[in-house]
Amino acid sequence: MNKIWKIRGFEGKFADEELIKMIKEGRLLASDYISTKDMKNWIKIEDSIYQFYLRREKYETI
Amino acid sequence: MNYLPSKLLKLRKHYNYSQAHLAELLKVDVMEYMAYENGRKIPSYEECQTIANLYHISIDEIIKNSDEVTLYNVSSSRTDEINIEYFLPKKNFFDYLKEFVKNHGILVGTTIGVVLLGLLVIGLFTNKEEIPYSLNLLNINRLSVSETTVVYIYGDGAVKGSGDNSKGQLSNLPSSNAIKVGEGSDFTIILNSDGTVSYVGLDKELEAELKQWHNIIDIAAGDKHIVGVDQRGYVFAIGDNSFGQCEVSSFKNIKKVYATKNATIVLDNEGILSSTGEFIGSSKIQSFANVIDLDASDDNLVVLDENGSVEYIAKNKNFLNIYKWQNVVDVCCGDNFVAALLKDGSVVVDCDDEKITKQVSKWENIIAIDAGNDYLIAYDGEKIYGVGKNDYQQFEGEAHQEILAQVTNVKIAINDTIDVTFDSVEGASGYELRLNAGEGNVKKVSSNQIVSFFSDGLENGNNYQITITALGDGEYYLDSDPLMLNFTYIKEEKNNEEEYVDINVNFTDMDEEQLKEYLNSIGISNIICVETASPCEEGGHTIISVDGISSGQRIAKRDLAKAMVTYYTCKIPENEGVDNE
Repeated sequence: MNKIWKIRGFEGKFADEELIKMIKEGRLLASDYISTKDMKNWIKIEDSIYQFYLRREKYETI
Repeated sequence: MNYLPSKLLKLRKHYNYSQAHLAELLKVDVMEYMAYENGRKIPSYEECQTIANLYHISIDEIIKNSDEVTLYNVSSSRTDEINIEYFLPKKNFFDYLKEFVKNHGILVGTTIGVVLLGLLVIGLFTNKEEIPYSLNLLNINRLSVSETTVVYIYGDGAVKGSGDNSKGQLSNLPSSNAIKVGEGSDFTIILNSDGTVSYVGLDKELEAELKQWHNIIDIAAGDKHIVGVDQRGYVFAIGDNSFGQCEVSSFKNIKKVYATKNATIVLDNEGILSSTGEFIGSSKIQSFANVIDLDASDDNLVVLDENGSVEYIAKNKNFLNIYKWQNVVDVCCGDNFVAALLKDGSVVVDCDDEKITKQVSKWENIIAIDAGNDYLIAYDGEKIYGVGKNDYQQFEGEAHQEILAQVTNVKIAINDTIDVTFDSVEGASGYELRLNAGEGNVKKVSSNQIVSFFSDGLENGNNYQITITALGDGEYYLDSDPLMLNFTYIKEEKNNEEEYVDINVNFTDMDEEQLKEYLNSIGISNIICVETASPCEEGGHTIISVDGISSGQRIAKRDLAKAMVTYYTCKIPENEGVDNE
């Protein structure tokens, strides 16, 4: 697995699959920031295409 | 709403690509790519990169959930930069189907086509992705500090800590499932992903009480009390209640809790703060609106609202720089500073100590910050950085480092060489001196000895610069800022007709007065007398030997002023003086 994701508040880097798993499990929130070395900025999960994996009811409460 | 499908469609149509071509490029089958465009699936990050490269846009534009995207005019010069191969006529799903039929016969081809279309229809109406139950966790910060410890969560939920472990607060920290940590004066609490709270420390009563807590969505630790809120919005508090910090029964619809040393602060679903206990700003806490984060030290309170604005309440100080900060995502404060994490991963601090400000400005890619009363901690996902008091070794590495002072009392003497002297700097492991002329004019010395540069290559009357840096040890001290000194090189005029003095006397025949008189007459003034233990012989000469000059020697006159002569005498018996009396 190619560990490319940095998650604000977490140590180390994460693979795409790990990021998605953490979002699905609710361990990452809509308000969490993610980025990679190729991205210019951090982005909130809720503002990224990865909001697709957020639980709908959780996402709406934030 | 997922805007990726409309964005992908917009891009593909604009550049006249087929879905099949995109599928081919992404090395997925057409059905998979179609799932991206109809919103049933999200491409992997690697595929997003391929898409971004294809359309010559940044990966940020793909990752951002927006249908706004840069579209280049295909008839402009920009098209020169885009691989022309992508503008060739493209095949779509039906083109591939036709090709298959042509190659394999109409029956097989039609059958496969029907199966694929069937799968497509099934896929459109069945999205059975299982998402496990999760708690409504808000804005969790995975870094927590007390006055003596730093604790943080790394990787997928392991807890690490450093600092004072005299009460076992850092022993046996969990290795997984942690979502949030809190640090009390002598304990650590951990919110686990299943909504339970763990206690690490020596107080068995607190530990037992926490075992009763379930479905907790947020926790916080004061000095000696623990606060939690469950998913119904009910707040719980246990531990020391000397200041009323555990009087939390009236709080309802709470989504986040904070704890200062002797107080509990809660944030409700409307973004309003309430509090109980004693802390600075307790009377004004409800005046803040739309709050998303806060932090408090003994002397200060800092609040971040959803617009990224930072406000503070301070006992003794003004922190006016905070109003210039933009894109703030996290705040914290100590007794003499307020710090903020910015969206770009940098940290800013409003503080009187320029060394701290300077050190913090070097931090980058930070993902979390927190502070004790006297120190600031940052975390970049790889390691912990700290600045300020580190009495319990809460942090390592750069945390200990101080920037060395610049060298002082620098003197530059222009002789045959350029000689530089300066006073030593406390903590420096050495010094680097650079002369901005010629080659190899960089000297590294371990102490503040005289450092000489050759003057070859320097032109008479020109200005030059010498830069001196006190070097740190890489562990506790950082290099000083370079000190730059300008000077004009004036070449020493050599006297072609050097004048000399020939020494042609026998010093041991002289008495002391005669010797001094002679030496002074030829220009030597640095004269030292050393009396030896050897007793003088009656009637003999008192001078035994002379160093630094000798009979038969020829000395240049210009060297005489620098010469130093030491003469040794025999010891005159003490009773000689008595007899004379």
